[in-house]
Amino acid sequence: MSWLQRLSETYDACFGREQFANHPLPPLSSVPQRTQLHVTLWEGGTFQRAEIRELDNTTMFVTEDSAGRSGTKPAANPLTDQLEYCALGVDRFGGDASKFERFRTTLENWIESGLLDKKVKAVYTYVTAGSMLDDLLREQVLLVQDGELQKVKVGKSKLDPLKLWVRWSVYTAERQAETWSDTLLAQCWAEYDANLSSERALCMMSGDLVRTTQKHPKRLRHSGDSAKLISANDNEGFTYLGRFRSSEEALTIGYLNTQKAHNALRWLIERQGTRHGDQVIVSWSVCADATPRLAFNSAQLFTQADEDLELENEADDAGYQGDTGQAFARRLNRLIRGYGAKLKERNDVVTVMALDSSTDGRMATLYYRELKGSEFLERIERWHKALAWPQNFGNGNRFVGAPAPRDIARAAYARKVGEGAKRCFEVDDKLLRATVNRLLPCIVDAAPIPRDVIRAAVAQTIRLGSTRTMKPLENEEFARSLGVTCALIKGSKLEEDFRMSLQEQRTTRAYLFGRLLAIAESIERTALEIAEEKRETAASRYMQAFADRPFETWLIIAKSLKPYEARLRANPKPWCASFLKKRQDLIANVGDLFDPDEFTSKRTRLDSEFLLGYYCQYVALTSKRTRPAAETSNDEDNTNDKFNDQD
Amino acid sequence: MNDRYRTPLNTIEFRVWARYAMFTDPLTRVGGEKCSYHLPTYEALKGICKSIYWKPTFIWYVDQARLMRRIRTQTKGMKPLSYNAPGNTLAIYTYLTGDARSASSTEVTQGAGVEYQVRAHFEWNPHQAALESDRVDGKHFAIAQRSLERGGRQDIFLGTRDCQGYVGPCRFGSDAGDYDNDGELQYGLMFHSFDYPDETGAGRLATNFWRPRLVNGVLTFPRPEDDRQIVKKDIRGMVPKHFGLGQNLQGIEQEYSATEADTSAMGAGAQP
Repeated sequence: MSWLQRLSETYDACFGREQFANHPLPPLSSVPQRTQLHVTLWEGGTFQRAEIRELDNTTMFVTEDSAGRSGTKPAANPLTDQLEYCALGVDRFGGDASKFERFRTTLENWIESGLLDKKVKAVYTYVTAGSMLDDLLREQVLLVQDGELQKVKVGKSKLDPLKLWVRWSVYTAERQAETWSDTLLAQCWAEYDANLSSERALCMMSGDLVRTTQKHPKRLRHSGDSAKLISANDNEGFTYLGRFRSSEEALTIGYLNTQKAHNALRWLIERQGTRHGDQVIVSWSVCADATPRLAFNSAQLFTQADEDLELENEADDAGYQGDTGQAFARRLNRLIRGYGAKLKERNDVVTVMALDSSTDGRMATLYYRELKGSEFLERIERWHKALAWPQNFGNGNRFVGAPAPRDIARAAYARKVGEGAKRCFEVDDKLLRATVNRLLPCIVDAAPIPRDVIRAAVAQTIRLGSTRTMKPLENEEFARSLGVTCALIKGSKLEEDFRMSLQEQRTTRAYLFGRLLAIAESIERTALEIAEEKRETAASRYMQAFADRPFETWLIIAKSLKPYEARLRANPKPWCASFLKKRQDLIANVGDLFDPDEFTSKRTRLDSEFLLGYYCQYVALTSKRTRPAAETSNDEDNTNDKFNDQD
Repeated sequence: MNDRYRTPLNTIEFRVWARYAMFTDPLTRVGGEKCSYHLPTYEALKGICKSIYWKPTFIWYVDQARLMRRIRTQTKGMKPLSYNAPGNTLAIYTYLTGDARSASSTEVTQGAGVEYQVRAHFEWNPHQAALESDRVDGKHFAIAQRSLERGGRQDIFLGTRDCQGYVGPCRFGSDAGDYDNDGELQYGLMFHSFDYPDETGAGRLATNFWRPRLVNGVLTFPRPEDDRQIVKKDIRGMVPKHFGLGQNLQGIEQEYSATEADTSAMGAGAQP
């Protein structure tokens, strides 16, 4: 499909460009490799020194065969390779001597093809002289005991010395010493390697007659990743055999094309991919301009945008409750316009891909879309606007915005795991990946959010609400769930036009019942705090029953409130009586808004909307600004505000 | 649609719909993970035509296909059986599906799935010299139409056998489709069809590729012989299957009279 084509184009567009100098695209015919042994030579090919120092992501040149080598006669890499390949005479320590021969031949062929670089010639001279092992032993980089090489300590582990990866530096008058970071050398190698074979066949991606390969790169998600996107190795089963007799008949891709595409993919994943375990979601424009990340929640999105677009931080005046929605919308608009300006210049296409592996060794494309840049931004904007809601993720992490797919999965499916101090809420990994995959079309294709996810989130939130204790773990999880679930409900019912602040004219049954529950909780909680009793309110424990049978449960709650009301009335502090009166008036007002039949009906359970009413009323009751300053006193506002702490 | 497309002789127009489709992309398929193209392949639609009615006497040519529903994909984790080892492996298949049709946000009138309108015609197969007497104008076409009205002679499937579908006659271009006003979309190189020796006469198996252009939801397919639009990849030599009247093939005269007998037996109230 076009994704391979698209990635190849991205590689061509981005290779060697200035703006990516910090994190350049890897060159062709090379892979990243962790190397340990660093050998430095003089120009003539004489040994200078060696050290054991690990370097992750060394650029290692490879040939088509050596990239995925295995078997009894593995092919050698040209320059950087394991010690067993580079050193002459390893058989005296139990190594395989034929490996050196292959290494030497590969290097020799490269030099004889007209290579001018002095560093490689120096390495060749040194390696053929054969003194490598002796030099290392003399310098005590390697140690011998009883005729056997000792394991070498690298970092925290001990490695077999013959398996150490070697990288070379050569001091010459020109350029730099290191062979692995020399881009000109990398290019030389890439050109030489591309011409190593003269067979031509049809590339099924581009339609041209080029050198093709059956071996495709791996190490896409991280350097230890053995999963391949394209792999054809089933010679006995019927994955592709039948009509075809070999993998060449089934699939041929150009050697350069596949490398370009996979290198680009690896680079993009590192640079801007979101990972959930094995799953990777990556979106990019062909010129790799900055694009907002799909799987971020609004807070992460804004942080990333500030970096990408270098926006100045407008003083964020949270303002009144009613204004948070507007402040968020303003900020989102700036973000979208900022990204849009860059994308519009080039009229770019944005590609979205999600990859996952079901088994080791194989990766599948779960999702693939191409959109115009403007369409992509529009979808992101739509998602964040639709699901914007005040979120509280604990530890002071509060923001107004949309939850990420991962957050939604957690709100719907998290369970308590672990014991003692390590108890926390977690989603099963497979469920997380599956849910994130299901939510991708909701963002990119503007598909409706799956109803079972919303139902699960609502059920979870109500359950967490009903089983709340004073312990922070459950409380925080409830607050987090509530924010995410309200966002989901709002986003799935756009035509209802829910607002983040209390809608006092709203007369839907579920909304009003939610408000009632919040008011009842507020009365009880205040009474408990005055008495300094540290327990959760009874009203909150009735949340589940309330959602199922609101009218009957309301009668029970109203009755159970009586003792708390009595306490407040009897309390000598002056504000208690007025507080109680205000709350009771509020209950009466809300009650008036009801349609009497709906209020007493025993037929149906409450719509998920009741959580919105509950949240909005709760925030309205506990936020300082909803009450005129003259009437408040310190005590009254000391209520333990779980949802909207003023920090 | 107001195009004054003059259709060739023996053209049928039908709509085919299914919950899922799998027009497998050969790129990832060789590894075992299947991912569907977003557009139907010529070969898959030709296969549907052949399921409706086919004789070796003629070759189906698919002219146009029209996408009716907005493209969606759905991923399923599968446990395909291993052929050699006992048990199964794990794989991820990404099926093609389409938007559901709904009147409001809570009501669904037509479930999610793919739907295409196809226009195809058949021409006599010049490489089957033995069947020359079978090329009777009109009779094959009549049976094809009748089979279409009855939902096809053989099972309809979109790409792979597990994507069961249905066909019915329609007028190409009727009803509103989701892509009618979307302009032109260019796609990369995609699989078009296979060249089998009994239809090309060349004794070789070849794969055809093309670069689709989706214009307002309509795909216009080139013929497999069209050099300008088709990129051909030769695979291997293949021996064509031999068909002989009365040997492994029921001739048109017999077929036609059998169908006539059936229809009259069923009576005037026969429902398509």
